[in-house]
Amino acid sequence: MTDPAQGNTLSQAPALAPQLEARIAIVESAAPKSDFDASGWFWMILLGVAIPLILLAVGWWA
Amino acid sequence: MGVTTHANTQADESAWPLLPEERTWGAARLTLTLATTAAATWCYLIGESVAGYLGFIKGGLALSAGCMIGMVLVLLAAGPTCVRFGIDSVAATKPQFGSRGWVVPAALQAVSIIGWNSLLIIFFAKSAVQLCVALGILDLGSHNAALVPVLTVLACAIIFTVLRRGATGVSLVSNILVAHVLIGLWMLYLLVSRRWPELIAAQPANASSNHLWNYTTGVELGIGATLSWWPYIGAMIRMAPNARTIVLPVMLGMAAPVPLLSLIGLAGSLVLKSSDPTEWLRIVGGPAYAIVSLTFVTAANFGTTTAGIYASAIGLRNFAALQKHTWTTLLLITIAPVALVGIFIPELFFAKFGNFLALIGVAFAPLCGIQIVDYFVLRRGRIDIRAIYVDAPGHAYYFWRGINPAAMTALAVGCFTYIAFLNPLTYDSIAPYPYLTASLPSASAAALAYFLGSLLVIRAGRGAYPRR
Repeated sequence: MTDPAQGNTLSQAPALAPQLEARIAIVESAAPKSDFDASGWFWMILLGVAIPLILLAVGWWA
Repeated sequence: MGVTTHANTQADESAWPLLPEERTWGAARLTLTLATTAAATWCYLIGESVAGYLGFIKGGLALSAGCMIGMVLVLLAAGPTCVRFGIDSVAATKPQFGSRGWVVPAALQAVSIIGWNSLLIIFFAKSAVQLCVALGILDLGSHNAALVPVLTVLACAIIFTVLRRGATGVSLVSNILVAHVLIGLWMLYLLVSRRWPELIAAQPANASSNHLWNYTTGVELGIGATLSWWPYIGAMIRMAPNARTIVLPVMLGMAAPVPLLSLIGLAGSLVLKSSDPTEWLRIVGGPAYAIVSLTFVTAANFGTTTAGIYASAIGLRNFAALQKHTWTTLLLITIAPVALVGIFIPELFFAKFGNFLALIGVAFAPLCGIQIVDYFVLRRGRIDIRAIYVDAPGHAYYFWRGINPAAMTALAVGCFTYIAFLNPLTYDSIAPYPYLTASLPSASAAALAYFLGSLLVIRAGRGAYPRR
């Protein structure tokens, strides 16, 4: 997704390789607008935060 | 679509964004590849490090907690940009470090991966020599040491051949070698089932009188180990079609095998004073088990080195001077330093590797903090993929002469914070360390410094941050 620059001008773009240019055009239009979905966040919070917190508590106070 | 067939076939050998149809790795394939990448000899060394401070049960818990925390940091830092646009870890740093400043994370990646791979390739050669001795192909003798450089060259030649197929080669090796994870668990079962009373009674050699400090150090070692996966992860997850596909494979496939296999080194160090199963399996199970373990170690090192060389070669593609070189040339450039270390200074490298790696690891926590705050707070997920490939004044990630001073300053602040909390060479620490670890304050300090510095960058109209 292209983002408007603040005070930067993007008009004089140096030429990219044609294959790269074509790739970027496709990726810009096809890239998902968001990253992790609710399920992804759930697993990250469970496995990367909640379970480690429990393990920390067990280790610190056991 | 305007993209040639040739470009499609070369896609996984470039740093260019992958097209949706090229990103074919599902959750199962990604899990296998990541697990094979993570499950290598370094797990024994990680386990051995923890065994200096914690017993078997607490060591396992601390490592598990640390690996999960480190992995979620890496996933949040590199994951969103890499998987949305199909790019590697180094390319994903351009929005933070600038269209030229990215060479700093690239250098960190190169040094880290070359270091790890040199270690693994030397391990590979040594274990292959021992395997030949166990099988009766070679006699015991000092002349076997001369075979290490020869086997290093042979291993490099095989890896080069495999990787000429690009990411397909990495996946192929992963499919073949995934069995070694199960064999590793079998080795652990052998030791635990036969030496359980000794294992539970064993006392860590370097434990502090502060139990909290010991446990936090175990957690810190786990965080540090998984933070060093940052260079690898982008090259792997960009092969998956979307973020939904990567979370469980990364958290379970890459984070979980590390503490699990580290238990082998942890148990071996506590009971038999050796983290290397190729040594203690002969004692526990006899020569037959030693042959199995040597085969496992040899295969595991080979798989991880293959993935590492691939990730490093992809990272080199970001250099403009290397973009037009063939994939074969890039592989040769990547493999050459590893081969040279393995041929000329294998023993010296082994002796100094711990210090070298500790210093490298210090940089990845702040790097993650910077990327997380940039993507989720400052840019709110808005990345200009075109600007990642443009290095010219006036463009989104050009900042000042291609460098973002806010990121450079924040990286330095993060590194300083880490060393202040825990000296990675001497393990001297300050009072808050047992409650906070060193990596988390380092990542937080870098994130805060980056956020504050970026406010000035935004005020100066650089960086193409979205308006609030």
